[in-house]
Amino acid sequence: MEERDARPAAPPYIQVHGITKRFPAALKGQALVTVLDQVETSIARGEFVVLIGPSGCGKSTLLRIMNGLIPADEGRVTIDGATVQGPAGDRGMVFQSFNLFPWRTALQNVAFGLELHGVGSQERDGRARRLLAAMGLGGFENYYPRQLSGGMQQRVGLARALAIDPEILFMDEPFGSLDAQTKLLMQDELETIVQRHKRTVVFVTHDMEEAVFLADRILIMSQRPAKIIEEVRVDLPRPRMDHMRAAPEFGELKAHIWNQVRTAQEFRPTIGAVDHPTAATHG
Amino acid sequence: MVDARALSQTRRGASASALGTAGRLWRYKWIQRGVVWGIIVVAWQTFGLIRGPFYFPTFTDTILGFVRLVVEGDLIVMAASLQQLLVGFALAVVIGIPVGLILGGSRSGEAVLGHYINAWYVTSKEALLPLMIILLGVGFEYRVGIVFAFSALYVIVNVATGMRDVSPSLIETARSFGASRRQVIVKIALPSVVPFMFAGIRLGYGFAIKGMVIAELWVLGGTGGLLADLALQRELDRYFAIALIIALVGVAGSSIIRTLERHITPWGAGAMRTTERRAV
Repeated sequence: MEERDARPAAPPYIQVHGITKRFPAALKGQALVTVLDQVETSIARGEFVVLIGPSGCGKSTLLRIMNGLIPADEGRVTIDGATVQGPAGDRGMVFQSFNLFPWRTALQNVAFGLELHGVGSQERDGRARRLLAAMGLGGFENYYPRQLSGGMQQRVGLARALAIDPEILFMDEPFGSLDAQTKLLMQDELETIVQRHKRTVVFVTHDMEEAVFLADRILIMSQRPAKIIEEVRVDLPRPRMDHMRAAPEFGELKAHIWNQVRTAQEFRPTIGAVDHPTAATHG
Repeated sequence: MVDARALSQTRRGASASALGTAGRLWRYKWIQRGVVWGIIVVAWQTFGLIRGPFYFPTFTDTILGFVRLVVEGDLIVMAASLQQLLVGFALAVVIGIPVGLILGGSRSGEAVLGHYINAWYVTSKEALLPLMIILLGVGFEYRVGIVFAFSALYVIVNVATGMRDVSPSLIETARSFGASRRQVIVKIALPSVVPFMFAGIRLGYGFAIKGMVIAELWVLGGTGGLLADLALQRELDRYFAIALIIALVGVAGSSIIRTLERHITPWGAGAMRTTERRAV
């Protein structure tokens, strides 16, 4: 295993200070639901961090607060020392349900961010075209999203986020709605991209294998009100290759994470928690 | 025996291939339409012959009625009605779209306009006829006003629904790229309203025609007046011809709107149906 020594020593790039978020209860008259409770963490520049935890624990909420899409009730997030006030053009986001604009072609979707920031049409089309080609979508520039398959749509979504050449990529369960094969292919593709352009990535998932395959570091969150209960460093060498999924360390990490997530989930028993206690040992 | 069997086999073969040819032809949409049309015309003709012209003109009577409309200059009357229809409907679209955008897009727009639009929606538009006559007389302005009153509402309500229906996750997506409020309106809200706008325009057009006929029936002028006269005089051949022309104006107008919609919203369901290709 390669030891990547530069990273642990790097100064924090994204810092999360005591983030607390409460949401109104579903029923009137009930108390507010505390989703995030004094969350603390920091992320180094160029690091690939995965947030994992029981479903409904507030992973996506934390991601949106980090990106500035929703405000926190307490605490603050700083990026490169500056407090996040709202979304900014140098941070890209990829969504679980792709969220492509249906009235825009693949090319126009990818060019969206550049268009917002006043980049000329020739330059933005050129860049969008190159990105689509790099994603294996050359020839599909003029297709509308509904003419594309799920995997292709998410590649457009990824290209759209990359087009603005973001410092940070926020990814909210981006492969969660894809079929199993497409999901593996997309993970490989993302690994290639991350290797090519060193980017800071914050990635939300509830898929243990995906987390181990992609992450430098995995932050395990507890059930609501969520805290980060453990950090797991993944020291598998980069670039990550498909065959590593079969490595013993890979399986051990996955089992460990599942154990933690399951413990967190068992605070409030759900069907999912007792469903497949051995799932972590399966491929 | 043997011969008979052989004969029946060849016959079956022949009829099967005839069926095959018919089946192939049936796939063409114009053949399907033609056959249905043929059945309707024959049934119409037969029914007309049985009932007699006093109650129901035949197909051929109606065609002759159309010729009489042309010869006797009634088409000029209809052209004037068409003009009122188009002016009233154009006003409904031009005024309806911005009103709908304000109604659906802003809280204060809803607060200020909501009640009136609702009242307009639930009240019988026909109840406005006497008031409109008092305000505008019985001429061009009155008829345009009625067409507007009948159709604008559907444009407004649909556009407003579209504005309220803009996907929050698409807005969030735009915001995540740093879109300003203005950019969210121009680049997200407006394009998502377009299909609703067309739905409103198509619906509104149907009601515009209804408004045109009712306005004229009420004051016994124009095409509506003509219809009333012809019915009383039992000149049902021309009456039917006029009714058919009105139906044609409706169908032609709505297919023009549909074609426009396909060109303006190539991503929409209407445009995709014929060209749907899902890449794998």
